[in-house]
Amino acid sequence: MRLYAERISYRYPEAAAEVLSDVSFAMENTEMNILVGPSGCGKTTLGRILAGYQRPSAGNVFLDERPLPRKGYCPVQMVWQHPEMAVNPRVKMQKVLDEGNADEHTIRGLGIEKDWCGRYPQELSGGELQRFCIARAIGKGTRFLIADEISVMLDPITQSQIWTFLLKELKEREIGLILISHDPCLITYLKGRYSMKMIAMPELSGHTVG
Amino acid sequence: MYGGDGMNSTPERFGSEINAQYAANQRKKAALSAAGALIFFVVLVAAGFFLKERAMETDFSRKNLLPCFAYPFGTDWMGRDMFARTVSGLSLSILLGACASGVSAMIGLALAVVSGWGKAADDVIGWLTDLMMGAPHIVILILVSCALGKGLKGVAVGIALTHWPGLCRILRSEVLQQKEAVYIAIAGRLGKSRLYIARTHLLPHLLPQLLAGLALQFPHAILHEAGLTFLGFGLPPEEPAIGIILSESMAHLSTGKWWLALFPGLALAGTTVLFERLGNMLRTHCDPSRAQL
Repeated sequence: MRLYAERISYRYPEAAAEVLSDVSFAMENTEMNILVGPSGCGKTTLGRILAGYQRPSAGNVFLDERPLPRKGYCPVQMVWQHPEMAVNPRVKMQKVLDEGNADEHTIRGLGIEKDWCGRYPQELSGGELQRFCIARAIGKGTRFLIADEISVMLDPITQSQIWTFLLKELKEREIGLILISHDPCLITYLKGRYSMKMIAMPELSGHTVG
Repeated sequence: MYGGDGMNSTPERFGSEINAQYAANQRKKAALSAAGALIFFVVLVAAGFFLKERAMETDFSRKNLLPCFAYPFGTDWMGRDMFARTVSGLSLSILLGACASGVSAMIGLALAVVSGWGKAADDVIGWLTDLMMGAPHIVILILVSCALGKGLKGVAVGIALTHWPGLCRILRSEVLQQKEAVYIAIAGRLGKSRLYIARTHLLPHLLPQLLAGLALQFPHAILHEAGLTFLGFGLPPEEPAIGIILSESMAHLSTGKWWLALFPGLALAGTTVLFERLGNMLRTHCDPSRAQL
């Protein structure tokens, strides 16, 4: 499957300048890419548009020649930077797993303990919450995963555990990854071990891909 | 939050465990008291049902008795037992208030949820709410009550149809706020239906407001019932309703028959306060983060 963004522009309402202007981007679901660029250059905005959370002001996102579905399960899923905003404070964690149809293998792989499922989000730490958010995003129908700074709240050991499981899982199930990160250590580590491609945000503007 | 997975996580874990336990206790306590209050209301309604015959019974040999052992609330100028009248009046008021404010809360909830679905729906519902709030309450009540042939049905339908706008506004603002929440957007991208999102993600945020609104509407409903009845558009005068008891006792208060108004009035005030407490306890029970405070 091919994820293809064609000449996307985005301007936040009432903002003077465009965050994204004429951005094109393409990848296969077997690829893993790291999206880098200075703060405020529109990495997260591009991620949201690719996952269908926002509509671009101009341009289109395609999945295999078909526009990204507006309704139903979206094959492009995103894990957000702040897990505590991505879960409903009044809903128990089991519901989060149910919502993404997370299977036993994923739950165990991410180190989610049975006991956490009966709790409310404010009774878990940020790192524990993020595991639930990852489990929710890599359900059966997911073909592309956008990971927006997903590990900044984790300690190094947990970070490495989660990344090891996640990357193995993505490789096996042929889920494409777009990693948005600022962490030079993480980028160097992943680039070396998993032969990921670095994509600099500014390079995406102005010309068409594929 | 950041140290939760680290080596030094022990103190934080410990703290959150104590917190969780305390919250569970608070919420359980709230649930128990709420259940107690509910049982009290059910008993009151049932007692009113059984005492209704006695409440209508006139006996001029025992008229205008002061409160005594046989008649704890005294008797009125027609020799009717005020205790029986008060209990069956309260039971009628509770039933009427609960039905009417329950129905109007459901109307408010449904409209608020629908208004979150789109701009057009929101505009129409906002306009309808303004219309209902702009028109004088009591006039609509009288019109509806008259159109339905007065009596219990007219009052109940009238109150149910006129009390939703205030609650609808509060719930709508909550819906608009929640609509922007990331977890709702995520549920949408996971292919969840509007109904699922409303039930799973919106309802837990609306429930506390809804229960508080219900509790606050209850005295409103009773007062409107009494007001309508006083104006002659409500319940028939032989019905032992609390509104009728109070308005009738006004005529006898100046002749020194204080017990006719005092006990039914106190009973009404007590019931109202209890309903308010019930609302607060249910709110505490529904909101896990509030229970931790």
